[in-house]
Amino acid sequence: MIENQTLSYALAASAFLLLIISVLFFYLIVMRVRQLRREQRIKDYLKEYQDVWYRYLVLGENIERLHSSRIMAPYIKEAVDRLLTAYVSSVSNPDVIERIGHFCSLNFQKYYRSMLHHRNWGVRMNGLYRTLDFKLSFLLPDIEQLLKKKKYTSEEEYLVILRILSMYNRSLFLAHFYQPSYPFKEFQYKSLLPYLDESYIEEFIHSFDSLPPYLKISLLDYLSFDSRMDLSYLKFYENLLTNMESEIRIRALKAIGHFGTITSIHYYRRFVDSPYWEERLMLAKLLFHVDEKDAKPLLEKLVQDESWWVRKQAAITLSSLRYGIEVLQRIAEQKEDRYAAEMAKEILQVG
Amino acid sequence: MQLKWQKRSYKWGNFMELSTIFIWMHTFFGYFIIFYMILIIGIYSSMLIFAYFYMKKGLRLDKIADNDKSLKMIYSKPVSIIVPAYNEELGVIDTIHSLLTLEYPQFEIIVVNDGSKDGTLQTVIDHFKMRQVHRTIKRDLSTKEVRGIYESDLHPNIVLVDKVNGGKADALNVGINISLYPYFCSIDGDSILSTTSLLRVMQPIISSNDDVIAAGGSVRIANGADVQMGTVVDSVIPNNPFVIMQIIEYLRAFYMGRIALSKFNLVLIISGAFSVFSKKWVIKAGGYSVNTIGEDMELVVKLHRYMLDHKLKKRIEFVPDPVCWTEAPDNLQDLRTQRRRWHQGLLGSLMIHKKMTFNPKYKQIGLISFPYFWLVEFFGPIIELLGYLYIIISFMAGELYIDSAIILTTLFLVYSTFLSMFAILLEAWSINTYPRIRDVFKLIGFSLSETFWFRPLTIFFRLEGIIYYLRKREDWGQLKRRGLSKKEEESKQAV
Repeated sequence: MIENQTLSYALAASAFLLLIISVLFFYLIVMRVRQLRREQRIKDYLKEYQDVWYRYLVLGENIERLHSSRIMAPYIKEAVDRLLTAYVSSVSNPDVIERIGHFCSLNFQKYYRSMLHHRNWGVRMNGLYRTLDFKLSFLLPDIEQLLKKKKYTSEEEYLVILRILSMYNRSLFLAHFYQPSYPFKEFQYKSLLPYLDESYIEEFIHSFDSLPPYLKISLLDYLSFDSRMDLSYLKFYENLLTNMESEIRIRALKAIGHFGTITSIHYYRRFVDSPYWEERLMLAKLLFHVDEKDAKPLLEKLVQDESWWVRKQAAITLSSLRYGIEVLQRIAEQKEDRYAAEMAKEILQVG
Repeated sequence: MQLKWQKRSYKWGNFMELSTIFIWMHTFFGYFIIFYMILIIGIYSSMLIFAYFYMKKGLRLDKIADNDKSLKMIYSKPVSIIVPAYNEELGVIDTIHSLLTLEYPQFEIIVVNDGSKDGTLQTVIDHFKMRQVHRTIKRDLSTKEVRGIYESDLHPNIVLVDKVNGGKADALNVGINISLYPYFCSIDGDSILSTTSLLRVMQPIISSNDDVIAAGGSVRIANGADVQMGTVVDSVIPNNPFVIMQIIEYLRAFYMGRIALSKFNLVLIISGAFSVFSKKWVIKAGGYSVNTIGEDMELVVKLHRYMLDHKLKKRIEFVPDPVCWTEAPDNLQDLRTQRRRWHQGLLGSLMIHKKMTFNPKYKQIGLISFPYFWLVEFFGPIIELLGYLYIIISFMAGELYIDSAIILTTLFLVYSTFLSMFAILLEAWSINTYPRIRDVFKLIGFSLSETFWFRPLTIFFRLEGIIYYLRKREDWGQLKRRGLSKKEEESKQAV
């Protein structure tokens, strides 16, 4: 049987595969051991030098020993990179960040530049995050080059690049923000807005009508989460209530709900008959902040709305108003609208 | 009549001797099975290679810097978490407590008591000081009767629903009707979540601007892991061979399936243990099916079908991050029940939607996913069984047939053992869940034995599932609670 040719082929194939697996396994172990040794050396370095770094970064002492980058072994660079990252994420002192940027521009230019141009996506992302977190302005030309030559491969990279640009190159940033290379929708705009300088937000509000549609929606959501209490914002929202787009009107109503006051009921009355239940829902919510004589008739109508969500919200709003309980009791007892009565009963129980 | 038949058989006997038939059949089957195995090995290898490049891409990303940014999303959408409970008075409180520790801006927990025969209802009422409320229910999905709704003064975001028994799917549908938020998450009783689970599973939905309508997290095996406060602190390979084999199986499914399937929107199974769905689309697709065994897979297939019927470009994704740990069956009987049910559910869904197979209208699902699931997942055990029989018969039949038997044995080895080893190595190189070198050794060692006992066993269990399906046997899978939380208690005390 040993002479069987097929058997020898099969054995050879299996042996070959086993060999590959063994080689990979061996390689993995060697890598693991090297990695462990490297980790140990990094740990040792950090242990030895953390006080020196503290004195340099936090206390601002000038320390010669740290500035001899030419002899820095790769593992030391990695250790320093980790240490700086840890400082940035835990310390908010702007002097520390400035010193980190200064140190990097003197010693680490090449290190971080090579990260930006690295073949591996993960390393490039790290490079971009460092540029952002350490405020490495010396890398700006590189980043503009990346953008120009489209040398980024993913939306994730593009989003970080835009955040970096927003700090240094206003016009280029805005050009990309308005006409992005990737299709930007709500998520993309919303993930950038919180990081932008206040002056950008003001600019967007001023030129609201000419913004890309998704940016409009995202901006309104962002503003309402940010709960800005200046009356000029209320004026801005109320002007949007006559917008052609229902999406925008709904978001404006939502933002006003967060705002907590209105200028005049005159802007809002017509929403009680809106064909969009979301608009009626938002109205039912914000009527909480409106005077009894204006709000009561509207809420009475909304609690009998055809949409379950609107009825529920109207009943919740009523239940938290002084005069509302009495209204709810009346509706719970009437017989014409069974749905409204049930909803009123439910809310009265909870309240 | 009888005479005639005898005559004919006699003629046949002249024409073709029995041994000729045997050789012919043997050769045909041999080639067929060999061809099948080569095809499957080809499919698995390509998915493994795809997974390698996928893992390589993000391997060096500084996860902490990256997470920090993505988890700060202030625009997360509210989620309703549905906990179906049937005779779970022992574990339900623990499950709710672990859900209460989730890091997420806005969520509600809906416990649905599916007509339990034990004290599940009263346990929850007493523990959270709940009282019955009158609440109108939106009847988006038709379900068994709801007997009462309870709310808690202590935790306003917990709702308890008491309903007539109708199975897990029906309980989930009730949860959907009661839920207030646009996304819901179904959860199995015996899983451990980490505090960031919900954030991670919601990530693809949020970052895709709702193009992703359902997302399931990667489920890991918790046996042997050191679990503290719902977080797995340290994972060690346990000694139970069943569990070890399932860990290997899990790695295979992950690297030679999920990653590639998810990338191309081909996923038909996302874990029922922890998945998020967009409520709007689930309601449109008709909710959970009450009459199937694998209600999670059935829902995913229905969602795909609805989207493709209506020409909508939506995706269902699988999140590679580990978000949920679950206890794997550690004995033969439990493993058997689990596998039988899985296969029964798989066949059920494939049969209900059999018209999607090779139907160009259903694009990637009809042309790739369905054929893949039929060929690899469903027919796999049948053909493998034939393969095992073929090898045994050939070796017994003598030298003439030994060639194909050897080829097939080699292919089986490659298929189970060697591919498993590659998956283990890929795992050790990338995610590295089991950092001890000796654990990697252990996994590799056990994978050597896979072909000889574990594979054949699961083949029998899965075939049993097919038989159950054919005999239309329905056993409502009761969620059997194992001692996870108890173990957690112990480890907490030990600390």
